[in-house]
Amino acid sequence: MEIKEYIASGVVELYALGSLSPAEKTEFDQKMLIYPELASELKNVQEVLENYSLASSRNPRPTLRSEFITKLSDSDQIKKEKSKTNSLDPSHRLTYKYLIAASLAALLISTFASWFFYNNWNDAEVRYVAALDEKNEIAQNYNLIKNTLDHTYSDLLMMRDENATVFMLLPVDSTKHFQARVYWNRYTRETYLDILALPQPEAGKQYQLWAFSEGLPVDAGVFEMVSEEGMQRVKNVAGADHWAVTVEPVGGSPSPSMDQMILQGRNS
Amino acid sequence: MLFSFLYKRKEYFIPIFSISLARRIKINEEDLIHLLTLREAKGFEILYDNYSAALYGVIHRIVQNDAIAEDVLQETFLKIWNNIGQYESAKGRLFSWMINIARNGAIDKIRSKEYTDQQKNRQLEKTVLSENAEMYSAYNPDTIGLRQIVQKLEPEYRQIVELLFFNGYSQSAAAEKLNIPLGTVKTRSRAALQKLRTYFSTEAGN
Repeated sequence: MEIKEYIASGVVELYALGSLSPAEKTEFDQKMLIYPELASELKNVQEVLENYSLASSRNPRPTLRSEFITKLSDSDQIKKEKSKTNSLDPSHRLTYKYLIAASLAALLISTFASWFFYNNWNDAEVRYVAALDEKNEIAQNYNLIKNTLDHTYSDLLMMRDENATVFMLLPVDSTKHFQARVYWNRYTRETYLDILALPQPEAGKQYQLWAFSEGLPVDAGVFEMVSEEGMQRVKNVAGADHWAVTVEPVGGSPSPSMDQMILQGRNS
Repeated sequence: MLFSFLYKRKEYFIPIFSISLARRIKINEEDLIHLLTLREAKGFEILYDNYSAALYGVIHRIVQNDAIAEDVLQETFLKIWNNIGQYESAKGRLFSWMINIARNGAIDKIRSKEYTDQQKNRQLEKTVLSENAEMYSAYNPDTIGLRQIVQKLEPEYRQIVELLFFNGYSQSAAAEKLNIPLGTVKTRSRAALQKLRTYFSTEAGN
């Protein structure tokens, strides 16, 4: 007989309902070994009957639970709770063995964890110090850059000021390549010198800047040959239409030595 | 994070039904079988907590008496407890296996002389028990949905399932009782269970 027909005949349902004759039941059991679809069909039908049975669920008397459990343990059907007084009980000793094993394992784990976290901490400490150094270095660099920038920015502001006048100082001896520039603010009277090309003065000598207003020289101060690029501020000057640089003894002179003039220039 | 594996066992209790209408039974069958084979009190407690209402319901329905039903329930649990090794998952579901033990125990009981004798005193006993009975033996509220579905089944179908399953009638006895041909018993019980299956699966799908 085809298994589909067998299923369709209702035999699965009767099996699940428990209503097959012993001979029919044996036949079914044998077929179930051969046809897996028979077993899965049976489980489907059983699930329906389970739900059908659950529909009549009824809570038994609440005390029945403990009565059953007492009866079961009295008749040794249930493993007895482990005795707490008899320490020679082998199962009890086994419990201790497990406890000791567990605590050793815990110790091992915590030792390992301590070592692990100590290493981590050390590592973090080293890296923290390195990061701190790096931070300081960056801060220094920043300050340096900020100073330069401030300086450059104030120079730029000074040059861009609407009251600023620029004087180009060119060599008196035209064979030399000396050069300098003077920025003079006629409102604030501030004066800045930008050395473009000048040799170091001889020992005992110093350069001195002079402003000429209507032919009269005014001392604008001696200056050093500074190594960095940039402006240096000299003395404030009240008025100027013409500038000159002379070579004077160290400390400067009250009036210019006109024969020692190396640079001069007008408003460019 | 180091000890998170300890919490993994929380997934222990999962409903056994693909149709999870009845939330009463909350343990995986394989887990339960394993627990029962350990033969520790915990296993019995879980067995009892998960199945006592269902099995007591089946038994009570057959024997119609609280005291007898309690006896049969105890015998049933004892059989499950002692014979769990004989259960074969290839031959059907565990819960069905338990229901059959309960059902057969109850049917055997009502056919016994002891039961027939007790029935003579039943009238008296019933008046004594009924007052208490109503207090704790109320139908389990978790299964209201299932009861409503079962009540949707047409009377002729319900009748055949009741006779065969809960009263232990043989096919021929059922045919005789209902006055229908033997072949009809087969086709009708198949139709009844297929109807129920559709009802359960549509309800569960909702």
